[in-house]
Amino acid sequence: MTTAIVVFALVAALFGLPLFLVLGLIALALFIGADISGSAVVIEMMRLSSSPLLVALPLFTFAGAILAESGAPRRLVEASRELLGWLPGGLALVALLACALFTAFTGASGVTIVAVGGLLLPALIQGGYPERFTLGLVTTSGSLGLLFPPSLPLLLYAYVAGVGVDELFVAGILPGVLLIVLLAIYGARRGLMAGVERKPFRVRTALSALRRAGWEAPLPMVVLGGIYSGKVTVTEAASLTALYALIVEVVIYRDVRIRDLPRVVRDSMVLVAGILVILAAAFGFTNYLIDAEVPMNILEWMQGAFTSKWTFLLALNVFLLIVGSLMDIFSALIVVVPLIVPIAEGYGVNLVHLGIIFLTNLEIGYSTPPVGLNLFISSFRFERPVLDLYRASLPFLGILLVALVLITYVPDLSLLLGRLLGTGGGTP
Amino acid sequence: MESLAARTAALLAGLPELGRFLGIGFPALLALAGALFAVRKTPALRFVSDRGDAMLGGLLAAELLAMVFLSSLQILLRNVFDSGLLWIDPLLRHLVLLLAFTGAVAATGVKRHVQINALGRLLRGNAQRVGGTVIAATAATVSLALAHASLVLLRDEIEFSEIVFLNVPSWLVVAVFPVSFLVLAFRFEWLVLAEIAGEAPQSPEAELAGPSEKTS
Repeated sequence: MTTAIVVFALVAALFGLPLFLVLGLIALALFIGADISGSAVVIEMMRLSSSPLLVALPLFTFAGAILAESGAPRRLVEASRELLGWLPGGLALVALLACALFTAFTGASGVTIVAVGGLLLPALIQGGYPERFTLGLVTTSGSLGLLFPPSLPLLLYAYVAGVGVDELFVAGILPGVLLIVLLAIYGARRGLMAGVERKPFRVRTALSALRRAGWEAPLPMVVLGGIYSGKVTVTEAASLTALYALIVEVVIYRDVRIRDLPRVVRDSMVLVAGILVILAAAFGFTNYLIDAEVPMNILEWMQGAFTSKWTFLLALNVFLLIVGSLMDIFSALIVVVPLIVPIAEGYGVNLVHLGIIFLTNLEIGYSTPPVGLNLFISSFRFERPVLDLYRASLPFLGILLVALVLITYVPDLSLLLGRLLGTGGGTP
Repeated sequence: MESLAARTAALLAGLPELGRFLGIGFPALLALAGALFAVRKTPALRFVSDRGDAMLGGLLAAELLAMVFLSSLQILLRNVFDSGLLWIDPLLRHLVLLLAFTGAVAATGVKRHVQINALGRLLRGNAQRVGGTVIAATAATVSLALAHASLVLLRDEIEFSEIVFLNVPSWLVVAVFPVSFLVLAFRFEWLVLAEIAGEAPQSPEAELAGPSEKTS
């Protein structure tokens, strides 16, 4: 009976049953099947109110939504264009940086493609970049920046895996930069090949673009400075960011009208609530599996099949790429991380490093055919057939995979900064 | 508060076991949803449902803004006045729970739940409608089952309730679950009818990319 319900739940998931109900149903079936009251599933859900870290999730999401709703994407693109447009492939670099920065604040919920990509696509094509290159760039960059603080996936991984958020925030920086550098080199090459015109650097216009973004530009510094200096906790940084974004966009720039606020709040909170209820429903499910020693059994089986840490990491990457192309990043983090953590520990993988591998995989999964979410959002947003986007994103996927291999097999990319800064990233 | 607890406890004493609960609850909610669905185009029901949506949006906004201001206030108190209010931190944590379930209820109205749906999105025409109907009915059943589990928990919690923060007893926090799951079950039953009538909302991706003119 229990098995039948679990199988039914999985099939229903493939046909669109909301994921939190899939997990809730499986948890109920497992608990009741083991003669435990179904109310234990709800007791597990109560854990949603037990961590101050979770308070940061809606706050950062709200800040990101306000920024997305305002003129911030336009000011961000203008300012970085003035500053970097003179470089070879400068406009492509602008696109990469703008997307990365924006995704770090909004999470890869598609907002980046809709808000920033929508501005960049015409600019890049007008600037002389080939259309297919541009589509691929904008699509795959929709999840670039996940590795930079204060991205929600970093926060959520830290919470689920029980790793320090500050450690993870430091660990993502070098790998994130690596992704951007590799893509920027490709962009510069394509720009030179297509004979793209460069925009001369003018101090006056650069300063005026910076001044226009003057209230938003310090935001990343304030957030990160606050967290890294230890002056505020992550949760406090989240509330300050939300308050700051609210005041700047509603009162100072007046980009967001007061009467639009309820809609912005509702849309962003629906998004974050979707994540939170999945988390709530997954507590029972993952706890049951851990109690039943399922990860331990998988570990035992895997240690027979993959004898070294390095072959394990290879298998993990393949597995995560598949997960990443099927599930959204938050569900994947919530469901898979608790099961993978004990296995990875069995292989001696550092959990901070594991987090970065995890997120890089899921970031790539966003643009992986056939069902990567970025491909569909781009398809809707730019009114192109999904097949065109499959083709357009292929070269970018290739580059991201190279970066993934480097990130996986050079742990120091993720751990070096932490050791230097003493956030404890080096302890295995 | 005491009398409310006693009345809730009396109500829960007659809680049937899961199978019977589903057997009575599912058709009862479906009948209620059906009666309202039949008059959905009348001005009165439109008014009520618009107000309901507005209230839900307002509730979400109030919860979030409370989080923003309370946590900022706490930082101010701690760093400038070297003090703090003990109840703010637990209240913030419980607001996360409340926000999660308020948002889940709101998500059902616009069909914006996080889902895998790898096969469902391949369906077209009638198959899509049948699939949507079956999934909505399944969602309603699971929500009801979770409502039952939370009612059982609530029944136990009232007996051993303690104060969580300010004067809020723990059973009141637990009550968030049955209320949310019952409302969710109702909204999924409504969705069953909307799917049959071919009036269900669009897929989330189309919704997300919908207002494409806004930014350009």
